[in-house]
Amino acid sequence: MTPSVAAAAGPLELLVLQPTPFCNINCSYCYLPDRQSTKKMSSETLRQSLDWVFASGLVREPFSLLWHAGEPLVMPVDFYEEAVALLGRANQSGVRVDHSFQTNATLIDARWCDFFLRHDVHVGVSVDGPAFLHDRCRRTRQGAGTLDRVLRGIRLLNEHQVPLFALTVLTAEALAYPDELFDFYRTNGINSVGFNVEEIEGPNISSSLLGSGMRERFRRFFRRFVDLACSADPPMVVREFQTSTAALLGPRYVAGSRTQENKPWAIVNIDCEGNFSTYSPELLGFSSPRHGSFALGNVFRDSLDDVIASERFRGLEEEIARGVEMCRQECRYFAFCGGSAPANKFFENGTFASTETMSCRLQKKVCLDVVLAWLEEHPATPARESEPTHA
Amino acid sequence: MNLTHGYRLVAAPFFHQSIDWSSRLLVGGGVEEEQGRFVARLAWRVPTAAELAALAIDGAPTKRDELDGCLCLFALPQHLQTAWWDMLDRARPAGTTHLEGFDAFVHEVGSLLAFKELPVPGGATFELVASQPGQRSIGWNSGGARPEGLAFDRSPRTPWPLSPEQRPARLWGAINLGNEAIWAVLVNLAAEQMHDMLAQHFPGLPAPATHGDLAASFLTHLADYPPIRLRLEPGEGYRLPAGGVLVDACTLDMHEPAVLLLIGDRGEKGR
Repeated sequence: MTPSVAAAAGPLELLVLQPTPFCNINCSYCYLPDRQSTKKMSSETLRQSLDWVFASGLVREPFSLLWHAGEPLVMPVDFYEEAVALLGRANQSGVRVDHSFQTNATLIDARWCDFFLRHDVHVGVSVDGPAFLHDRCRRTRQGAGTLDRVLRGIRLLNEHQVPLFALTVLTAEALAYPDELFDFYRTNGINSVGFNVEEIEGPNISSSLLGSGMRERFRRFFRRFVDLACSADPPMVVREFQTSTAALLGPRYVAGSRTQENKPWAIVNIDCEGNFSTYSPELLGFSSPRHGSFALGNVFRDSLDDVIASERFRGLEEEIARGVEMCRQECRYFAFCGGSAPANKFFENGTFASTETMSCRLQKKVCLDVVLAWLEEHPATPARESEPTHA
Repeated sequence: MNLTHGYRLVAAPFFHQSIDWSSRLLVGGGVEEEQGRFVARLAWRVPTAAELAALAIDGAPTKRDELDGCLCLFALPQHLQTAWWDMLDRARPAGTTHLEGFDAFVHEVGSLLAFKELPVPGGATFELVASQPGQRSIGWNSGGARPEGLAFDRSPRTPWPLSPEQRPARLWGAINLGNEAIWAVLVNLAAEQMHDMLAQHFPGLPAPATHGDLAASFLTHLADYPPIRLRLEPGEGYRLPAGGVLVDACTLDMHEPAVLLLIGDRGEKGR
């Protein structure tokens, strides 16, 4: 990579490795098109992926490695032990690496807990709350609920004192139950949570959150949950509260500044065959008539220089940059948000050169409004540090 | 007498309760006078399928005015129940009857009910009533505005009939804050239906001038009309239907004192 190209790209903040598209459960809102495929990343692909990333010149601190989609724990612990060893070898400059897993927790056992502890892994557990919410959407391929197995995994994490972060997908139904969600987290030893909205992505072509009045319902839900979380002893950590507080109290986005998801090469996503993409992780595996596959290259075949110079990447970057600029010009929240996620724009609006999405309407705008109101009502509250989690 | 269709019992929307009504309800054998008050006779039985169908519906109505005509059963979330017991634990060593934190607690209860679209009336009153176990009827009216026993949810002096714009002070609902189940005792008819039933069976009776008159007349002349008992688990509460209902509670099967949080509507004059 030439210095000029390296200077223009990244830095890489988040590496998302997808060791298998396979998921052992079958959530109704899942965006992964190949989650029934049992393909797995080979040792060779793993080694090549890590070598490619660290040779790219993109890596600086802070740097996170997230094992994600499908279900990463389908791969054996030994695979990740090998990954840690290979990472140590590839990471010759000794960059500090924060390891994260996003898991449905159904496969967790004592050996996994030991692995998480030894490698200081941040564990994100996907869980949607009590059975009447969780088991509606998060089911096995036979249609059975999965909550019992998830809770068994959470219990093991707690018994082994592995810190965990719960990630809950909110459907329209869930918006009526902030108290029940709060009780669920407390009962199960969960004190750090984040909310995703049921997004329109990939095969999930609709969302229960599209109905009329949803913005107000989401606002009421989030406000009540924030009130409960902040008054708990100890207070419950809510990702959207932290990120919104940081956005309101921290530096503003200005012309030219970009977020992790819409800045090229701030995220690199690599699938089990070594295909890689940048921008939103959800784009890997999809294509568009205008841009072709969002997998821009393969770690065995393509250098970062070649990909950056390619017409496909430049076309993609031009459209995404145009979309960010449209957000900057049109949206009064831009200074705090930096532009909606490209994947949401693409799947909802059909183009990256667009602005508002359901996700930014609810997760960004409403959360900012609620947190701003909360901060105004609680002026003595110290600013909390942001620790956003991508999942 | 047979139970007739009256107001319905429903699980309040947005509380996600799965209620087996057949195990929650008992049907009585009428009422009797005891020490100047009306109480349910000690002749309870499980409801028949037809009676269950007349009493309860599984899916709550979605229209607001239909819901207003139902008795809505709800439950406090665990964190509020915990907050209640924590408050009691803090009060016990002090040996005081003043519950520090009570105002904040009932504010949280009000916030919850408002979020769940079952809002308490503006300026609602919250009153704690503790009762001994083993009683057919509880002495739950410290203000003296409501007679003991099975009686209307409002003062007996409230005029009958009310014009549509009149909103008297009344009991809006109650929450079981004890640690045992308590029985709510009810007549499943709103005041208007009681009046119609009296007129149908006893056309010569003088028209009641107050709700107290109406209650006395109904419970005397139609003493065999079956009251019902609804079991309220700890943390559960009910919102009474609008329109005036006869309500009481009994602690017969309990071993420890009952604690009810009574939620009152001050009515138009109280605002």
